[in-house]
Amino acid sequence: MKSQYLILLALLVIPVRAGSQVLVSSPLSPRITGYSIDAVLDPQAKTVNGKMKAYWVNVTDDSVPDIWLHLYLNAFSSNKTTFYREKGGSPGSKPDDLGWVKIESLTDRRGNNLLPAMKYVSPDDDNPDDRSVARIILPQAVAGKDTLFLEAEFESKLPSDITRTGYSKDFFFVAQWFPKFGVYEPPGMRGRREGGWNCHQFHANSEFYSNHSVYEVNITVPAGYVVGSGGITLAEEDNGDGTKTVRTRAEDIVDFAWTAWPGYKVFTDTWKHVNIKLLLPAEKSNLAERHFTAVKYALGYLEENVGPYPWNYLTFADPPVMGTGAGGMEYTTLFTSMSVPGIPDYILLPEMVTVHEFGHAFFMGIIATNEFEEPWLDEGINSYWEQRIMDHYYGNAGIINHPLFKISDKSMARSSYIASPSRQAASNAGYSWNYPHGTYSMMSYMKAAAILHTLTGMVGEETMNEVFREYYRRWAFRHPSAGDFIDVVNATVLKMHGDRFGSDLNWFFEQTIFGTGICDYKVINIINRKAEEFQGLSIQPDSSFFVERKKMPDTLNYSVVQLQRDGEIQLPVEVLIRFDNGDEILEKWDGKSRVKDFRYTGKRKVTQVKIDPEYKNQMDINFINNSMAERPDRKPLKRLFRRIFSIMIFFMDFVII
Amino acid sequence: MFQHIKTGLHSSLKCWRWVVAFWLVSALTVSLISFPLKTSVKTILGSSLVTGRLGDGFPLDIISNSGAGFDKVGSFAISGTLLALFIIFLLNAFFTGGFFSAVKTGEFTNSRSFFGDAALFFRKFFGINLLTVAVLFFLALLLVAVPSAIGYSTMGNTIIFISLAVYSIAAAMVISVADFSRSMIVSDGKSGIISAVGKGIKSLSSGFLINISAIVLILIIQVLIAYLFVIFIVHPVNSPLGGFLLFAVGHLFNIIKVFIRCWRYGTVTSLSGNRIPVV
Repeated sequence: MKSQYLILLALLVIPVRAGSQVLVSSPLSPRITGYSIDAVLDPQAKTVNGKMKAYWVNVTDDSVPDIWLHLYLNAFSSNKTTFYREKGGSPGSKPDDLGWVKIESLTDRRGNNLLPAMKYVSPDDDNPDDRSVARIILPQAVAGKDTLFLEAEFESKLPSDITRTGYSKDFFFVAQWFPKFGVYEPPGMRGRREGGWNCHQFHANSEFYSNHSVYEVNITVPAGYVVGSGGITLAEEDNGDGTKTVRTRAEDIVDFAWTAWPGYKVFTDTWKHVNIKLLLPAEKSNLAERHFTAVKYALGYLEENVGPYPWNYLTFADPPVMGTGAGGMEYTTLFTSMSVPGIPDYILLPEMVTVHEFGHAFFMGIIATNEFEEPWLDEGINSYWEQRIMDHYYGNAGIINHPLFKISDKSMARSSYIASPSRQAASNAGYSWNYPHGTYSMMSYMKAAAILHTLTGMVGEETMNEVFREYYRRWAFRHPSAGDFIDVVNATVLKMHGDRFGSDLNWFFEQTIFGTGICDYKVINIINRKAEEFQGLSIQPDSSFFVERKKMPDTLNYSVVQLQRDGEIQLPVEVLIRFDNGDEILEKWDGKSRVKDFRYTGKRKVTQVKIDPEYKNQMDINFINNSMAERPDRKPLKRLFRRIFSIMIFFMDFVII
Repeated sequence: MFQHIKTGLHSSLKCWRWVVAFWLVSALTVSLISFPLKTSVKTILGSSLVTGRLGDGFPLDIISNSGAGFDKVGSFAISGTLLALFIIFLLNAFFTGGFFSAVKTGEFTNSRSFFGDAALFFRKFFGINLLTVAVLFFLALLLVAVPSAIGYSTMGNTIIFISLAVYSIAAAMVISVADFSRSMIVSDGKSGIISAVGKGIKSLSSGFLINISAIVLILIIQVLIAYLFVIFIVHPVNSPLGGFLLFAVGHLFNIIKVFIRCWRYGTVTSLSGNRIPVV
């Protein structure tokens, strides 16, 4: 091992102090990979030239003959790449539009040139036109517990069609930009039978699966540019040639991205131990407070209910309109929100995106699931928390909060699922690029979140919080699979509720996450009638009989509530029954049979029935048929239509001169 | 100027029956859309208790629950609203002829005279109204949409305010020309649309400052009334009576709006010297 590599390893692995700011006092993750990169932005050529030293520690006992690298920017090299085949369209026809990453030199620690041994591979779809993954056969296999060092020089050309990464005029969002190791998975990891690299191509849906790494990145940009990155700024040096170099370091994050633009205004705030930096274009300055409030809500809520945010810094940006394609992305300690200038206060899109993208610091950032293979663990769980946070702090108006028009985040998400014509086209068991009929977002974000809300309704919010606290404790800075998450759910629910829900909740996940059925419980009818008097032959013990007419008390009623399960999914539900004397009964139904009747005889009549009165079952595709009243209250409908009528007639005037 | 405004006010007060008639007809037109819409929604909701959530913001999760039901209702609402807009546009062209004719004398007008003149001038008024709406739409694109789209990134909201201010001035000019043109049609009874617009511009130009000031003053009152109504609907009274209050006040506002428009017609008629002195 050359001494320079020892120094690299030491630099990257040993925690450092940034001024008085300790990044982390001891490594949070195994730091299997590490990168030291000198990056120079050429704003005219739209390129980043990088010199990179990187290591990968083979923590397994396997002898690994090759390495796999992500070369994501090559996804923008033509319209035939997997990314554009899935997304549609084209990166553009001019050289300026295209994106690519070119490795100019690649050597190991012995100085062996590895470039001749590099081949582009397409493990997901065998697309010969896709070059977003490279495999390099090593001259010598990496033995178990050994460390591989690489040194590379590369040029990354940013695309003009900003999708996650790219440029627009002098705005740059530099993500997925450097040659990056895949994840080597030994046998047993995430259910794997044989060891091997997990290194997927660049797809239209899903972005992340990486080891937690340490990064030292020196970014050289024109002096007038404002830089934000996933690292903490250690120093900013004027190079005296019209450029400056921003020295950054990040620890235990899964990806390193940065942005540079002369138009950013910098805003700062703090939340407990976290120094927050927000980059905004001048025309969005008025949104700073809204963004800070939202991100602090998310920090507080997730720290309380999931686990600590361990870094003492956080940077986020709301890109300018020309860089909208970079909005709504997550790189753990750096994320991008999204808005439009002048967006009114009652549209809470910026807050929602900020909460969502920050949430990824936990779900995929800290708990580093494989978004390619199990996207719901990343987007679904994160959407679930986003909706909880938005509902908690913004109530039933987490998307739109206008006196005339309120929409909650949870309702919006659930509606996307239940109103989708393809809601049964697939389950959540597929890889991200295999979701049919454009169902990726609906399935992995919305349906998965609805499933988790339903689970919350069953086991209770505090139990779910405990599930996630345990999930964090077991899997922070590791790579859990869906099975690992379900194991945590099973263990926690068993601990907190005994066998109330059975020995495990696999039956729930099999139907919901891994099934394609729908859930629909409905009230069919309410029947109230007088308990009838007896009329007919009365048979006596001695076989004689006579015609008898037995009087019944006048006030005795016979009531039947008829319920039905229309969907395939069977979940336990509560049924609230109200009587005309004000009595209420909360019945339990295991939800398994196709039909269910509740019968009552007494002096009272059933007037109202509500299945799942607290809307705990967010998977039920129809809330309208969940309830029935003998005499429904039409007043709210009348009020609504009076309002609609008044507004319609008033605004008709706009065509009148 | 104030004398003309006063005369216009006096004339419009004499037209109260036709103001009420126009309000009634437009309310009926809207009812043709809103009542079937309400019945459809009622049918979709059936005996469900979710109606209780209709007051709780926009019940998106209820609407999306109904599957294709609300899709159809939505399509009907959109196409119905467009149809109602068109019918009200036609009705307005018809009634405006009657209004201009009625304010000319400043006296009560009988039905025969009102509807006779309304029918007589309908085609020309329809043409002028259509032309005016088209010009206003074109100006909105030219003076608001395009500058805002181009200048927003550098000037922010300032460009929108400036664009709207310029547009308001331009719109006031266009409406003034339309008013004077229609007054001319009623005055001579012979002018075609283009000729009436020419005469309207000429009439507006003579004593321009007084003419435009009077019209702008009334337009400002119209805008204020609209603004008041918007405030009213944005801050609804949250009580069982709130809906009825909105309904009642909404109609009151509508009557006032029609009345103020009639006042503007009376003022223009007086300003253009087309008012027939009562002997």
